[in-house]
Parts: sequence; C-alpha cells; structure tokens
Amino acid sequence: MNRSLSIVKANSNILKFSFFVFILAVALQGVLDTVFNMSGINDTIGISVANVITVFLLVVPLILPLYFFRRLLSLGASRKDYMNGIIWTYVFYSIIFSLFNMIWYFFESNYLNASVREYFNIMAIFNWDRSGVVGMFLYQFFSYLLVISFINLLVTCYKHVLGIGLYIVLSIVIPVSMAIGTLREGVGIGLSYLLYNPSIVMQIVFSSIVTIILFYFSWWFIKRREV
Amino acid sequence: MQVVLETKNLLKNYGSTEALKNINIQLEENRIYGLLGRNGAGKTTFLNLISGSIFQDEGDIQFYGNQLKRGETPKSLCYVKEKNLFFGGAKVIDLLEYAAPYYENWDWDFANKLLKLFELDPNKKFRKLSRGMESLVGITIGLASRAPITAFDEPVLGLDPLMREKFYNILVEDFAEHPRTIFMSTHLIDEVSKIVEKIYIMESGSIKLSDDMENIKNKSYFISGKNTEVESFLQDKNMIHRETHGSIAIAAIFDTLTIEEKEKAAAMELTVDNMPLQKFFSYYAIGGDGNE
Amino acid sequence: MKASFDDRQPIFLQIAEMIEDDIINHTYEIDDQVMSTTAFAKTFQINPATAVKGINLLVEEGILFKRRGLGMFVAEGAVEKILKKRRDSFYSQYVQKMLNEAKKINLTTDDVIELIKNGKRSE
Repeated sequence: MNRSLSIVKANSNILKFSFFVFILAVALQGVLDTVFNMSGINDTIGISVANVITVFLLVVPLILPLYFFRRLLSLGASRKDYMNGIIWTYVFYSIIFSLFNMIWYFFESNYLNASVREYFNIMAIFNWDRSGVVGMFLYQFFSYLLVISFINLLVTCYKHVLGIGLYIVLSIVIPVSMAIGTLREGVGIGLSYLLYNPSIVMQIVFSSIVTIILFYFSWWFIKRREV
Repeated sequence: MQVVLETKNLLKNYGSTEALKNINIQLEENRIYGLLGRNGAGKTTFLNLISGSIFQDEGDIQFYGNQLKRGETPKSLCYVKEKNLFFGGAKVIDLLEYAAPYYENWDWDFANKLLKLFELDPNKKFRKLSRGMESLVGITIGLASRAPITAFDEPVLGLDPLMREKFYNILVEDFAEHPRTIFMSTHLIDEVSKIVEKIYIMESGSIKLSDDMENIKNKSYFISGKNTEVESFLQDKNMIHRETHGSIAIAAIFDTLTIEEKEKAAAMELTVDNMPLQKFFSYYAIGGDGNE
Repeated sequence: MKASFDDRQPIFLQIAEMIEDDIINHTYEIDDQVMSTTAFAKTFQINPATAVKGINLLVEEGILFKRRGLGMFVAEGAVEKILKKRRDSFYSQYVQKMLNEAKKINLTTDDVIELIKNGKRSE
C-alpha cells in the first residue's frame, strides 16, 4: 500500500504536465467554439466541458505504460509493484473525474441556461443519472475503469508478438462487426451490458469482470516485458 | 560464507550476437566485488539480467538459493543503473521518496547525509542535473538502500576525481559498519583496487578471470632486461604482454614468482617490478595469450 | 604509523608491518588493544577483509591474540617475535639487494663493508 501510494504520487508528478497541456488544448477549443458560436458559424451541439476534460482519463493509460514503466523499475520497483501502482492510479483518477463530472453535471443542469445552447452530457446519454447520486458515481467509476483497462492493455502489449497479433485481430474484428448488421447489434447489446445497463448491479458485475480480465492480460504482458 | 547470488550458465543472445555466454558467478555475503571489462564486454547486460530487467535465454539466477523467476525483481537487490532513467520533472528528494519504499533497510538519515556530502540540492529537478550529479543521485539511492546486495553499474561515470574518491571512501566506511554484498562494474581497476576484494574480468560476453584482488596484485610483474635473458627466464611463465626495444625486452607476466625465482632474476640481471593494475587489466583483457 | 600504502607488497602485509612497527616502537604495549578492522578500513579506505587478513597473520604468528567480543590485543613476547622475524629477513631484504647493486657497479663486499664502517660515499 505504501508503495502504491508512492506510485500514485510519482504519477501525479508526471501527469501534471500532460494535464496542463490537455487543459490548454481544451480551453483553446472552448475559446474557438465561443467565437464561432457568437459569429453564428457554428451551431453544433456542445459537449459538456466536464466530459471533455474527462477525456484526459484516456490519456493516463497512454502515458503510464509508455513513459512510467521503465522509470519506475529503475527506482527499484518490481513489475508487480508497477502493476498494483498503476491500477491504484487509475482507480484514483477514475474517482476524481467521476466526482468532478457529477459536480459539474449538477451545476450544468441547474445553473447553465440550456436555452442558450444545448449541452450533451455522457450522464444523460447513458442514463447514468437514473440511480441517484451514488448510482451516478458508480456507473461512471466502473465504466471509466473498464475503458482505461482496455487502453492500458492496448498500449502495454505493443512490444510482444501476441500484442501485434491482438492489433491485427482488432483491426479486422472492429470494422467487420460494424459492417455486418447482426454483429453490430451484438456489439450494441454487449456494450449495453457493460456501459449502460439498466441494472446498476449487473453493470458493476459485468464491467468488473471484463476490467479484471483486461488487467490480467496487461499483467501477462508486463511479466514478459524487458526494461 | 553464505552465497547470496549465483548464476549458472547464463546465456543471452541479441539476435545472432551472443551477448553473454555461460556466465557462472558466485557472490558471497558481505564482500565487495568488482566486475571489470571494456565497453561492450557484457557487464551491463549481465547486471540487467540479475536485476530481472531483462531475461536470459538459458541458465539460472539464484538469490539465496532461490531461483529468480521470469518477470520477478529480486527483493534483496538494489541495482543502480549506469544511466538512470528517472523522471526528469521530479526533484531529487522526490526521487528518493519514490525509491525508498522498495528497500527494507532504507536509511533516511543516511540518505540526507549523503545529499549533503555529495553537494546535491534536494530541491533541484533531475532534468537540470549534470551527468555527474545524475550519477550521484543513483549512488545515493544505492548506498541509502543498504540492500543486502547492491549492484552499481559504472557508478562514477561523469564524476570528477575528487567526487570519485569521496564515493569510494563513503562506500568503504559504510560497508565497514553495515557489511553487505557490493557488486560494482567499472573499468577503472586502479581506483577500486583497495576496496574490492574479488574481481571478475569479462571479455566478449564471457568471464575471463575471477580472482582475489590481492592475488592479482601478487601475480602481475614486469620483467625487463636483455632479450635473451628475459626469454629464458620466462619459459614456463604466463606472459600476457611483451615489448622489445632493440636488445632490451620488457615482458608482463601474470604468474607467481617465488623468492628463489626473484633471486634468480636478479642474478640474471633482470629487473622485476610490480605491474600497475590498470596495465595488467589492459594487457589481460586485450591481449590474453601474450603474443604480439 | 604510515599514512598510506605503496605498491611494493600486498596491503595486508603492509598492515601487519604497520602494527609490528607500532609494537616495536612501543606505541602499543603488551595487552594493549590494536585498531579494529573497521577502524582500519575507515582510516585507510581499504576493504575490511584486507585488514582482517593482515591482523590474522599476526594472530597466527602469536604477535596478537583475540579476546572474544572485545578485539585484538598485543601478546606477551610480541616484540621479541617481531625482532627475530625482522632480523631473519634482514639479509635477504636489505643486504642481498645492496650486494647485488654493489656488484653491478664493481664494488666488492669488502668495499661495501668499508663504506658502511666509514659512512662515506665513494668517489
């Protein structure tokens, strides 16, 4: 635990800079959006600012396997320490961003004038707001962790032959399943179980199982990765 | 004496090049070892293997008799790399904080004392350090870890002679009070000759020699004199280098000389001198069979 | 006590010699404790094992003895033992070398004796 805490701390040191860059990009985008809006050029539907900032969660599993792994191991950590540490880091940031999104969502729906501009919020899209405040948090938390575990796996496996194999399989499976109607439906159903399941308990169970499996695969690759 | 680290027939290939071939070493508890070799001899590869950073193609690595499994990091080892890949944006003190949890015997008082001795500013960012200061951060972690086995890969790289001397002094002082196994790769044999007890010399991926430092000092001589006399004196000696200047020959040998033999040499008007270790190392590692 | 070591002979022999010197010049008396191996290591920046080797040599020769848990002490009769040993090696260590050199520069043994007696340099 001591080690994992120190890893979360070490990560924050690294992520600070990326977050700063990310926020700058978001702010710039925001400014441009406003300018276009005011000049009437752009009338697309805005996405909740909090949602946009939460996209940073997807950047975290890109940075850690690529940048953090070797550096942490040079300090004396084992691969196991690394794995535990990054999972705690993901948990930590998933909590932070889930809370942030909730707070922003309340703010947005209560104080922002929706008539000025239509906002889309992932909470509304996926109906994550149907089980109260706790539900909002849990839906987000487990969904974020699931997506993170998937990205983490994709970034972790790139040095291994089987990882390259996984890329090839995915690059075939994804377009094919999108192209064929019945398969597309299957994917839709699968995602509905994992990301917008009407039953919060079911969603937590299913997404946790998949998350654990994905993290296990990451671990499998980490054990075989040379520093 | 307990064996703390043993490798058996360790083999590592990079593509078709054999980086390491059948490395067998045995490190005992509470001794200081030197791993010598020229650049590219395989020292770093070897240290990367025993630290579990990379994986061998064949052979075993055992810590305290327990096999190091693939993907494991040895708990009893602190490995200080030649080029530390630390987080550039982190402060020196942050790095020590990140490293500390991995070492059971970590000593914060000692770590802080080392920062002062090495004149390292704890609040300076790692990115802003000079090459020598980078090395010192690694050294600080290696020493403060007080790990049962500490491996340093070229620890004094980028340090000026004064700092190098300081490092060796602190190392030997701390070792005297907190004995542990130290395994240090270097190509500066003279500098470590007083503190290292046993050395392994590595050449093109193999261990070429392993011996006590004292034995090596006792067995390396320059014999000089008339060409013919040198020749006859050295008939059954292990010659590792030879130069001739006109009728004068200077030969380097790696062999024992008894008192009688030394007297005989004196009678033959040959001069016997002790050879500086750095000379021994360069002749031995490069020449080998002694033929010009 | 010397401040550092030279390359002429192994360091552990030099350590033994250093302690012997201190015994014959009465820096250490009988039953005095000699410097610990740790102190040797720290003072001279050498591997403690080297100091142990030097000290053990003197223990074997009966010049030092060990008090368990306390350290190394100067044994009874140490001075005599050291003097005898040094005298025995005096010929091979010093005299013979001198005679060899003398031979090279065409001085006879008698010349050398003469030189020693008169304490003068030859022309």
